[in-house]
Amino acid sequence: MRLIRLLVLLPCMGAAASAEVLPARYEARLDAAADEVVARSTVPSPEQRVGEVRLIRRGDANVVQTLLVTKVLSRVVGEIRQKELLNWPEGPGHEDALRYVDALAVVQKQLWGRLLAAEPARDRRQKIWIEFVLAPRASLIAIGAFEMEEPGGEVHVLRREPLAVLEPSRDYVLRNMRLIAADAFHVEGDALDSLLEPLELLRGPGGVPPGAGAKDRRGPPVKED
Amino acid sequence: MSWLLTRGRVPFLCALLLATAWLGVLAARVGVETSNASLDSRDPEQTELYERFKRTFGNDEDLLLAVAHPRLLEAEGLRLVASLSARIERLDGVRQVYSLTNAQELVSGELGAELAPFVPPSLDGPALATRVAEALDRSPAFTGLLVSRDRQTAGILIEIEDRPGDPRYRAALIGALRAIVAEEARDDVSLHLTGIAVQKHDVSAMIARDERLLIPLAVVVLGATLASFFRSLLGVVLPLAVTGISVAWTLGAYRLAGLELNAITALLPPVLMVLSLAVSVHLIQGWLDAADASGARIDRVQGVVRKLVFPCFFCSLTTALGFASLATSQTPAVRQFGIFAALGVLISFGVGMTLVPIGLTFVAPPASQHRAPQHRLVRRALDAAAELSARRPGRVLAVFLGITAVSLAGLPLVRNNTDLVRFLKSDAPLHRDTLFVDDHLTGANTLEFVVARRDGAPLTGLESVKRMAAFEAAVLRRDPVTGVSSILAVLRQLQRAESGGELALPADERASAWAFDLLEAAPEQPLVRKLVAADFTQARFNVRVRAVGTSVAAPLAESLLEEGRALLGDDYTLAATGAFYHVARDSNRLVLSQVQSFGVALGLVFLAIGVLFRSARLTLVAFVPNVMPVVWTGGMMGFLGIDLSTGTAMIASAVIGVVVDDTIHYLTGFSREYRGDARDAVRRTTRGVGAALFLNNLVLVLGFWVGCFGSFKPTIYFSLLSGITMISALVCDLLVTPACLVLTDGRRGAAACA
Repeated sequence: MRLIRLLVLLPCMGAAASAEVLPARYEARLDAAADEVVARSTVPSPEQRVGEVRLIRRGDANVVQTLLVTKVLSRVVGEIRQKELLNWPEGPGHEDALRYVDALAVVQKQLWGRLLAAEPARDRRQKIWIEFVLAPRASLIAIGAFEMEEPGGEVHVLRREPLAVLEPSRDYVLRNMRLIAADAFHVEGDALDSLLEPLELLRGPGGVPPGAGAKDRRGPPVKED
Repeated sequence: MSWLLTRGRVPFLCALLLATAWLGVLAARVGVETSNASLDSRDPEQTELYERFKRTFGNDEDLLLAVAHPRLLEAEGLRLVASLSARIERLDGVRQVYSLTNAQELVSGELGAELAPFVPPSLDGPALATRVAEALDRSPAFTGLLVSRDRQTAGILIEIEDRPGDPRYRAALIGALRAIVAEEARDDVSLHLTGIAVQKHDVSAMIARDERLLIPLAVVVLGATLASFFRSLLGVVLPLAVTGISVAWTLGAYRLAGLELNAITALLPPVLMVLSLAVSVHLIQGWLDAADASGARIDRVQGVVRKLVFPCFFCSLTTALGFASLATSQTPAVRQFGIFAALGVLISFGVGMTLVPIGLTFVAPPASQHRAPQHRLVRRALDAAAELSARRPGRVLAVFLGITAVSLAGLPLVRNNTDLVRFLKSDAPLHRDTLFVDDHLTGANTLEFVVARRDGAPLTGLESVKRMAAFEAAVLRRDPVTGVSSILAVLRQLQRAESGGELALPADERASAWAFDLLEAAPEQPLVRKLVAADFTQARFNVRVRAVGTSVAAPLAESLLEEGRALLGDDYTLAATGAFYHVARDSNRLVLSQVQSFGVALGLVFLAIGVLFRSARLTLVAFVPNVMPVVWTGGMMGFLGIDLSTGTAMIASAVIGVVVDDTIHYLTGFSREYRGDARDAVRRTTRGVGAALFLNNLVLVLGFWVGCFGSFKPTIYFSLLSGITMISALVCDLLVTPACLVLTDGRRGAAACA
């Protein structure tokens, strides 16, 4: 079943597999030129650094960006999969979760393939970025590769290469953004709300913006053309 | 001098009292070293290597608590281990605790290798013992370290923090651990604590105990000896006062130098007490024996001082030179001992040559020579010695040379061996506990090896792994080696958990790289960092060795280095380090430096004798009876299997300066008595100075033997053998020296030989 889903998914991934063919409607949402990082946290811990989670304001959109830099990306992706399926059991959002982790696995394999082709590589770390983007009228997940420099151990993204873009339900994206923030910053309840205060689309218990309608809250994907 | 003995007496005594009070206060504040750092030799390269090792892999001074329980693998036994581990982990100064109940193993999980508790956390399930036994079979690396082969003894490995600025935390931690041991021990459950930190702690405690015991004991022994010989209050009080002042001044200076007592310098007080008596004994004996019985007090004292000042000065000088030769040692403790013993001897000369004459001016001299009651028995022995050496000098020399020849045969049998555990008496807790751990768990000592690539690249390649595995196999083939902990054991578990099958190292380049990638991301980083550097450029091989001495450990380490370098090839470096390796290496260096010290001492002492007598003949004569006793002692050590160690290696250098004093006094007396006939001069000299030599040696020997009540075997052997050497030296001085003088006395000597 998973294989079939992958086979179905692969052409879609292929369509969005490079910056050159990225549909124009995504470009503005993924343009990081004017990003304003409001918070960042090393994951899973500063002692055992695998990546970084950033809370970002990008125009009218709110973004939870995950930058993973690890030699064991397949293991990290496997752990993300376990966590996702635990958070999204059978029911609403489950299909979105499956699509997300499958897309993640495909991109991971793509990066692994590139590493093997480049062997012996000086840097065996695979770098993947994941963005959950929530705009007033859009919700999407983008996954890709990136290049970076690390002055003083801080990750500076130099170039990003989107390899997959998904448009899951708004509810799934919103709730996952809050879950990722809670997990990465080790906060919950009021502390989480306080952390997310600068990101107006993620505020409140459900993270629903005050003006959003019931339809948005339930989460069918809203495509932005 | 006359001013000092008359109007200057009171001011001098006041100044002496004030200085002694000040330095005495300082002396009372001399602490005991807790780190044993002064016993490490200063080899900058090795020190830097060890510091780098500790920075990379952490402190290697782990403690090991062995828990023997008849039902160890059942819930009862495992609960005890779990409870002990938890309690110990909470103690201040403990960084990490590893035991059977908190150990983890790598197993195959949904995502590949993952950590799982080695023992089920609940400890309540059915067939617990069987399951734990199966787990132990799956992971043989734990056997020997965390559990004994018979599975009745558990090892709790305690990694302690390294707090260089806090010398007291170790003592507090060991005290807390021993309290736990005492609390948990039952009839069928025994606990045994060992480790380098325990050794250091116990050694410090024993030094303090020895100080409390040996100094009062030395005072009692010396006081009793002086009283029995001189049979007067004066004969006891004056020498003991000189001794007390000399020790107080020397230890005060020791404190001013910012030093603390260690296993070697703990001997300073008793040794100085003994050595500082010589001047007093000779002065009082000379004063008693003075021919001018009717003279005024001051004249009599001045006459004695004039007669003895030069021989006493040269005796003190040669004794000081003997000790000062230890200053060439690379071991700070030995160097400190040598320098301060030499200083103490010179202080005792100064104090003795002033305080004793002043003291003697306060009392009336004996009416006649014959009132000195101590001479009768000694006189008979001296008469016999004088006659024997004067009439049969050739035979005397032949017998002594024969004994020396036999002793020379024993010298090659002397083994250079320092064994920290067996330095302690067999009833010492550390001795017992360490040998228990050695018998039941793993080796009590560990040698550390560090492998790195010469180009500084990580060791993650298959070739590096293979070469390290070859080195590991070579190490495990050695007899005293009981086990090796290295990153290879983790790689084997990782490979099995990732790919299934048996324990094996990664089979290809990709698997090897992946295994190291997983290690880099592993949650148990503190454990991984103990085995391999964070950037994988250095790997540690912790080689556990049975409780052997340095005579085995040092050659083992050197031979493993040689074989390892051959196996690893030119692209790799292999270095040995660690606390135990330091001890092994230092022991060899120490003995070498002691031999050098002895050479220096011998040269300086006989140079001083040459300067004193300005006679090649007398210098040569002095050489024979002083080297003989040292050779005898060396031969005896070889035949009796007494090892050359930190303590016994000091005997020759320390004793040569002391024993030569007798010869100086004898030759000075001989020069005075010689009027063309060596036989007559020898008879008069032996009868004249013999009694003082006898008493001085008796005091020295009994004083040195006080050290036999010490806690360390090297201290005991040093004391015992030094005393024996002094007895031999006295015999040589009363027989060989006169025999040589007769034989070398020109034409008459030739006739005596015929």
